[in-house]
Amino acid sequence: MFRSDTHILVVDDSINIRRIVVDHLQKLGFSKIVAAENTAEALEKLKSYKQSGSPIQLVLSDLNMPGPSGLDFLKEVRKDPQYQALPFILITTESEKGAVIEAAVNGVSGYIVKPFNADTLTKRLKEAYRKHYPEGLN
Amino acid sequence: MVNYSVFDALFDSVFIIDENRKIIYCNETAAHLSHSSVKRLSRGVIFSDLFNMSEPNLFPLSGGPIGREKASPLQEVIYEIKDPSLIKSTTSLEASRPSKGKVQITIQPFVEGSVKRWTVVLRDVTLEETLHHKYQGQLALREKYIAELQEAKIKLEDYSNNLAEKVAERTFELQNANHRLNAVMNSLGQGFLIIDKKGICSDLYTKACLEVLEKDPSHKPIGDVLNLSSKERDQFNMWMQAVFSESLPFEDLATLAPDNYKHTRGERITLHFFPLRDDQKSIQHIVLVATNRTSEFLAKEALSKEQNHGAMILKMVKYRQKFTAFINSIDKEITSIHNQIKNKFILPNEVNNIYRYLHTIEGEAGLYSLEEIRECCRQIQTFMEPWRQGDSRESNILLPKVLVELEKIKKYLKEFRIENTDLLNLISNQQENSLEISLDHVLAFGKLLQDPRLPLELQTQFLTTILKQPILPCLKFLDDVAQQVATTQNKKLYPIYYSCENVYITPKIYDALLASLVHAIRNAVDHGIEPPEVRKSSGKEEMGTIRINCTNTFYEGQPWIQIQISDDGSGIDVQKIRNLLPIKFPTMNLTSLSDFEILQTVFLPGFSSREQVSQFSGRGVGLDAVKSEVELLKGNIQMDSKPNNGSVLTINIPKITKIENLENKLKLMSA
Repeated sequence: MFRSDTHILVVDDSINIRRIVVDHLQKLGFSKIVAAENTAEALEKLKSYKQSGSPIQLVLSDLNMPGPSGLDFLKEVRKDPQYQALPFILITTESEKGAVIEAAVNGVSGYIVKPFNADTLTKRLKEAYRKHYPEGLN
Repeated sequence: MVNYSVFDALFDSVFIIDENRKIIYCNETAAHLSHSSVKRLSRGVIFSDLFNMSEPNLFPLSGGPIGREKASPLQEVIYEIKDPSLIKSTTSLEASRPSKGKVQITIQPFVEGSVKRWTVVLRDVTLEETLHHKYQGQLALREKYIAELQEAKIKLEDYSNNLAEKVAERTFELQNANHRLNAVMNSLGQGFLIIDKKGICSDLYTKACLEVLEKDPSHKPIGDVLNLSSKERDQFNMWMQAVFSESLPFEDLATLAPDNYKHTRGERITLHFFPLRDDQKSIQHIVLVATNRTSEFLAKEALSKEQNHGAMILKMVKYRQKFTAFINSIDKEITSIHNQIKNKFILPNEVNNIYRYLHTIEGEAGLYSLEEIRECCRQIQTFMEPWRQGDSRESNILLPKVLVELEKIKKYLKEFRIENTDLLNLISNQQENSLEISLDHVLAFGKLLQDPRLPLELQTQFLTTILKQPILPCLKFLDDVAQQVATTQNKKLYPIYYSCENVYITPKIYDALLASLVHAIRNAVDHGIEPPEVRKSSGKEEMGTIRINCTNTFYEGQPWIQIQISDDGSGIDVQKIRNLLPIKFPTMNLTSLSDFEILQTVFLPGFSSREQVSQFSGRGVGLDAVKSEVELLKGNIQMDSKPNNGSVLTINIPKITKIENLENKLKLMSA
């Protein structure tokens, strides 16, 4: 269902979490993964990759980050009409219900609770895809 | 000549005929009727040659005198053209003229000058007839339609009535189903309500809502029903928005909703949300199910408490010496600290000591899961913190608080001791400075003392000081047995009163005997102790008493032990035994037996004065087992009893004074 060369952006301020997520993704077969430490860097990367012709096709972002949060990032991204359909998954903890609800009404494609395993991640990725690319990715 | 041209324009056919029936005149209509022309007919055609009439004797048309003097009444006759070959049809109109029909005919005589003439008028009523038939036909058809319609109307009325009945039936069934559903949900104690897109609850809800959510939810906003704060409401509204717009699958959103309701009386109410979809599968309503899980919650808490208790016991047993020391020491220390503080005799460095001591206690209490004591210690430390830092300004306020906590510790300790007496006895039976050695090692060592070169004194000392255990712990189990029997028989019993200090026995040797005492106890409760009502009516306490007394005695210069088991029950009915004995033991000679001797028959194998075998006794096996054990040990046993005063079972057994005897006995046992 998803191509292994899907361009994925992982955003998290903790290098350990980034490593774990990237690891999971690589095990699932994804090879084109880039990472960012914060919202600003993430937005920049989105822009530059789009310009260079190989745009980001999926975002996995932590919710709780110093500075603008994952929720702020989501809102920023959805402002751009070109990114209305960008699959965006938030990584949260048990206690952040309020923020997740807000993300839901702001167009998040799914959320995943830490700690998670590979199966849950796969499930969420599939859901996000189904939502935005019902015919599959081309 | 009369001018017959008055008849020319008439639509009725008029013929004028003479006495020879010759047509003198006819009009156009008559010619038309006759399929001929006026000219031809006026050339001397005989009228009766023209038509066949169905009524030939109207007036003698052919032959015979015409001879009618008066006008004939109008009569309907059927005519037929006699000779169709006469007809020469030159036009299609002429060809379409009917050759048969119905006419109304009348003949009127008159006199012209001196000759008789007759006027024959024929009115063609064929068309009328045809139309009449047609109309009749149509009328009949219409009548038929009307009849059918009326039938249909009746059927429709029937159907509507039926329908009304069916609707009433269905409504009734639906209401029933509704009631059943409601009953089911109410029986589950679950509050059920439906929320619409505006967040308002419908008027369809279960009665359980009144208890579980403490209000009637109909037409209220869900925020009011769940007593949400304004922040929680905003969040819930956003959540509903996400649900109704299905921005994420419902199952992912369900976990983000509030999962419990804060009940004002502390009941635990869980909340579950479900989507209600329409035919197009889009969510139109949200269903909320509120469940009272208080009992589950309490059960879980109780379970957790029990598990903690279990863990605590394990720790207490594992570290028993340490624990016993701990329990004993903090009692004293806390009391002394309490006194110090109460009397305000505290020097600064003492404050520090107290603080550190309590900190240690906190740790130790934690080790043994004594959470309440631990919490008190923590509180005291919190209160004393500023004081410890040198700031004693608040000490007046804090001192009483510290005292309160110390009181609490003492209270918990007291409660703890009471709740766990058995356990504490068990673990503190290990006296200070005690050693655990296996019995086999001790016995092996004892064997060495049999060496004849060693003084006998060594053996005696060994047996009296080393190879001994107090008898009480070996008899404690009898209390549980007694209570068990009493409970099953709805009898009330005090705990067994033991009086066994200073009585020691050699381990193992008396095991069988002591175990057999279970029969004696069972008998005592089953036969001896009366039900509470009976006891009350005979002036006794409702709760029965069983005593076990052990004493050291002497017999023929040798140390013996006496064990007495007594109860304050109804005693043994000697007369009853006298009556039963001949049946059970017919070969016995009873006449010479005293009451006392009769009492001792209870030790006979197979003896039972019970007619029925109960769960506990009556099989006749019991006291004889005790007796045989006593005799194996070379002791003696007897039963005493006073009516209504209870019974006393007395056992006397010798103590082991020589290891040789011990060895023999052990060999016997293992044989």
